Amino acid sequence: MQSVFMTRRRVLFGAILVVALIAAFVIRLVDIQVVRAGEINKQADGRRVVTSPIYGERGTIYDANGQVLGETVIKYNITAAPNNVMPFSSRRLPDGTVEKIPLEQVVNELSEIVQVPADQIMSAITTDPEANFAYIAKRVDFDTYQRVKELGISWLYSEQVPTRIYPKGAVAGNIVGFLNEVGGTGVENFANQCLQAVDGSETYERSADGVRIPGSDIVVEQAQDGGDVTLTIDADLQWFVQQALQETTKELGAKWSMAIVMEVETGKLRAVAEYPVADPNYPGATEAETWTSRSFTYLFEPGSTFKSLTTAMMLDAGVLTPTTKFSVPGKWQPRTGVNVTDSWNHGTLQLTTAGILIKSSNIGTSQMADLMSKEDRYNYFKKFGIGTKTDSGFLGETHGSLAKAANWDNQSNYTIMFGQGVSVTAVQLASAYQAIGNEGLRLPVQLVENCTLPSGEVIEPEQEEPVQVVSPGAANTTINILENLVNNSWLTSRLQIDGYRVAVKTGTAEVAKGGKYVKGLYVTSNAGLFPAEDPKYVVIAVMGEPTKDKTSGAVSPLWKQIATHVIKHYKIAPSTTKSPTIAQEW
Amino acid sequence: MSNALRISRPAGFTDNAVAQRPIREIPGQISEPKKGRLRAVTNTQTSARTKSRPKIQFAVVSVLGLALIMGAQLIMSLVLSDGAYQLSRLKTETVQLQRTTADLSQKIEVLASPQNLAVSAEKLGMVSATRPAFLNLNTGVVTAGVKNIGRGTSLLGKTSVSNIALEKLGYLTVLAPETSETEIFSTTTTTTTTNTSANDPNSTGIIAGPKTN
Repeated sequence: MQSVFMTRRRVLFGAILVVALIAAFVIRLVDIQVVRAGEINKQADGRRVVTSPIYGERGTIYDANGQVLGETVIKYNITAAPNNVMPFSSRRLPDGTVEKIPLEQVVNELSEIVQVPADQIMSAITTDPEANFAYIAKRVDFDTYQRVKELGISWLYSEQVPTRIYPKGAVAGNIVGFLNEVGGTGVENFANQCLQAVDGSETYERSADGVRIPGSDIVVEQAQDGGDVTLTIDADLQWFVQQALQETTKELGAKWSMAIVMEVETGKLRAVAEYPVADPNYPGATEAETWTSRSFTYLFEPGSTFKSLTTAMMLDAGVLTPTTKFSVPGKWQPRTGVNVTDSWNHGTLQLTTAGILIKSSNIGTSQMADLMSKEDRYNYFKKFGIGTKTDSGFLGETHGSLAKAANWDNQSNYTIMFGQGVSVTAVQLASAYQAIGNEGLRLPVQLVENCTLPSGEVIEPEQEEPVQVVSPGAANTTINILENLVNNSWLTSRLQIDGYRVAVKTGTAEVAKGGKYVKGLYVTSNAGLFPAEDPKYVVIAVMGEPTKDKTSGAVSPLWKQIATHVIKHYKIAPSTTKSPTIAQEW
Repeated sequence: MSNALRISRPAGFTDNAVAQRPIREIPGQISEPKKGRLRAVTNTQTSARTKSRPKIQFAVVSVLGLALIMGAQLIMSLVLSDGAYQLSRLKTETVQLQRTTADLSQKIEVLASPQNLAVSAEKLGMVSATRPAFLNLNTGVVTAGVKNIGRGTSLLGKTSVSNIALEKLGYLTVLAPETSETEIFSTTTTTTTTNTSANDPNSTGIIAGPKTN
């Protein structure tokens, strides 16, 4: 019986011991895993856990044909750990042997590769020998990075820097824009919501020799790539227009210039060229005023190109026909405070509506204005899109100025009809001509085709409804009159395109600075459509402050050069019908 | 009987279990079970002796098994860590190749720029099509399209649209026609030299200047 008792005690003792041990372990476990978990994890993580950013890639900007206008590439910052720099560095040669090279040699070789002066590198690594970080060169390209890596120097490191590059340089540089600390310009800025990526970060454990410990990957936050923006711009056409524009601007000694090609049937901008223009790869090379698109932001008085709009609205309202007879005096002062003159001296001319538009008579246009109330005329201009921002969405676009009809004084009641006392952007003017070319239906101006998200979802830009500005008849008659301008005026040789019916109106306006017209400073322009029987494209060419030839006719060869190229580029077949002839005089 | 049974019963056995467990489980050790007398002490001694043989076998098997498991674990761990190194190496290689691909495709995009194509085409002696013709399929009539104007058949003008990305690749200079077009490149070279100035919004601090030949 005693042995039984002893056995029981032993068992009991053993059990208590086991329980006590387990309890001790549990307490320790809870202590480590719960009570001091944070502290211990921190200690451990500090030793081997690495957090590295996962870069989401900013979207690409494409032209209408899928050519890349702006994309993100990885560039490299070359860095050094000065505290590891030795007088001699070991370099492992391809055959496996290790050679010792003096610091000076390393620095010289590095200097040659990264194109940074040797003394600058030397000072970067010797100024603070205790530092464990110093920049050697920033944003070097992949080739340079590879060559630095091939040096095999242990104290050299690199950082990845996502960088925007614009492979087509200044082609559409005014539209694409660039990124900077304050959000950038152009498409880069206003389409940022589509383009921008969200960076993530990744935490993983790393062994002493820098290798990831298997299975330790913990993605903290997934990166999200940005969407791609496709523009309506055709880069090849844009290049040609920019090239032609640049040449003419220099020939005419103009300060700046712009040219627009817009598709009549869609309202899509195919080329928005300007000079001078920034190369987004290095905008610092050009003046700050080139860091945007002048075609959307610069306001100018259109001058006589506006007369096409006036004529179209009169025809639409039925207050006149192309052959309505006007007696146009050499000077016109219908009431006090009104003084309208023409750009050339003449006696009384017996002109038709067509004659007034073709000869570009301010007086004749003013006489036409009296046929309609100013409220009606104002409403027509509004429907043409004057004084309202277009649907392009372009950053910093201006709406232009068109005073309310009630605020038109006796003089501006007439001058606005021939494009003075009213200001537009080149894109607005193109849009108004698009309406005339599209049987009176003005379509929203489109610069961004769409945004394609990484998921594949395609987002089309929101647009206003098309506006029927004038009737198809009024629009087509206006075009026929402008064809007569091309065929039967002093500009015929400069504008006529063999085999094609084209319709063009020229315009000249003085430049106002600080609220006053500056004598001798002009903005000259040509606005036209082709082929006239079924217009496909609007071409606008504008010269700012030319010094050599200040007439609007000087812009005509450029207009023709662009139109000719558009015809070839888009393979527009020659016209099969003849332009109708409309009497200019009676 | 019940008393004796209790003594040899291991803790936790139920009565039922004992009842079901035949005593002859250890054969020949309980000589006369029917007599109701149990000799527990001698029995346990005997059973300890007889049990010792299988115990050694078990120990050997267990130790061997354990060694095998540990060995396998070691090998697995070796393979796994070797795999980690291989994975790390391949990942580095993948990244390297991805970067090379990205770099090359970006260069292609730059080389596909109209500025470069125009110069290259001109260099090859290519000219702009002089006068395209249109064939009307309904009438069978061929009509001539528009004639070249301005620069005629030349693709290039007297000036060129800047492309610093292209200059950085050193291509524009390489492909420049030696004669007449010198003006184009003098303009672009000027831009290049000013390129290292500090107000480049795309860069800060010391930056490598473009490679110019």
